[in-house]
Amino acid sequence: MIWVFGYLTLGALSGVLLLMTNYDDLRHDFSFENLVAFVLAVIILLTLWPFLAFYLIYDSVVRRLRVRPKPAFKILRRELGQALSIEAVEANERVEDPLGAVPALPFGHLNPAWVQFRAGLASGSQLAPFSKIHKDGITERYVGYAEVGNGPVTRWFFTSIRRIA
Amino acid sequence: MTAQMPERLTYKGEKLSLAEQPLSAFFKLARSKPAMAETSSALWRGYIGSWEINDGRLYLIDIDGELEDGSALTLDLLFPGFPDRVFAHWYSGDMRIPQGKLLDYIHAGYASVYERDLILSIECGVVVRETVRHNGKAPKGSGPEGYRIEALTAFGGRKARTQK
Repeated sequence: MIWVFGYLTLGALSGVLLLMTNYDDLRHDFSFENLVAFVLAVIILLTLWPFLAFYLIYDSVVRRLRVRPKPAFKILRRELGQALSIEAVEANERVEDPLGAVPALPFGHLNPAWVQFRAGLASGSQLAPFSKIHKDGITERYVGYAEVGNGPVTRWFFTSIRRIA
Repeated sequence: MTAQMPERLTYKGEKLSLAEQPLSAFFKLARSKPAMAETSSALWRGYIGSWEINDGRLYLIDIDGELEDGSALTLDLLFPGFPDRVFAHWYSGDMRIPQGKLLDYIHAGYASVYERDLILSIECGVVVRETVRHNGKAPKGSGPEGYRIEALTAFGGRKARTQK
């Protein structure tokens, strides 16, 4: 008997909690339908609260397990094209516009970002073009240049990001 | 997410609604974006760009937005030395321009479906293809043509923008 009493008491406490959190809505938007819905919710809580609690815990655990770290963007050496000098890249990447709506600098309006990237390169560095599809929720094609070295590729500059799906 | 206000596009003399944000790619590539004021749930990006296709090339010709400090966002601020016209050479992708009457209103992003979608495929700021996708025919007597947002929340104390 005490178990039944305890069971219903926990359900009643949940009902009170529900009433407290919805009191303003019920007061301002009082209608017969809302009252019936509320009473039904209290009855369900009173009798079936373990199922609700199980669902809430299960849902939060499953949701947490489903969250995976985002795949980091990386480029492999075999994905790189032919290496070029910085000067050659800058010469190739001049953007022209008949209306003069772009600066006469390497990478046009992206020049400030390029200048920042170039400042971090060792003198005599070589760069190689790449074009790579990366999935991170959405699928995009990344195009740009990466620094060529002996080890893994760690520095790159994007010139275009195109959404594929 | 609330349905979002479109960008503006002038194409072949027509003023159209553009369901794409070519500036988003710029901010990603430039690795910098000014802090915009949030003025409305229908404008999470914080600005509306005005674009033009001129001789097959995509240009940003104006921007309407507000920075967090309350000052106006201008083209010259984003692209110093280019206050009137910016060639969008950084942009490659398919620009969707919804046309005709509304078939299915979806209150999220640019998800609503209209009778037609004009798709302009752009490579490095240059139009390479133009296609039209037919999505269906609205019943007779249905609402007016054009892009529509049915609800939004304007955030208090800041200038709320409206579609022009």
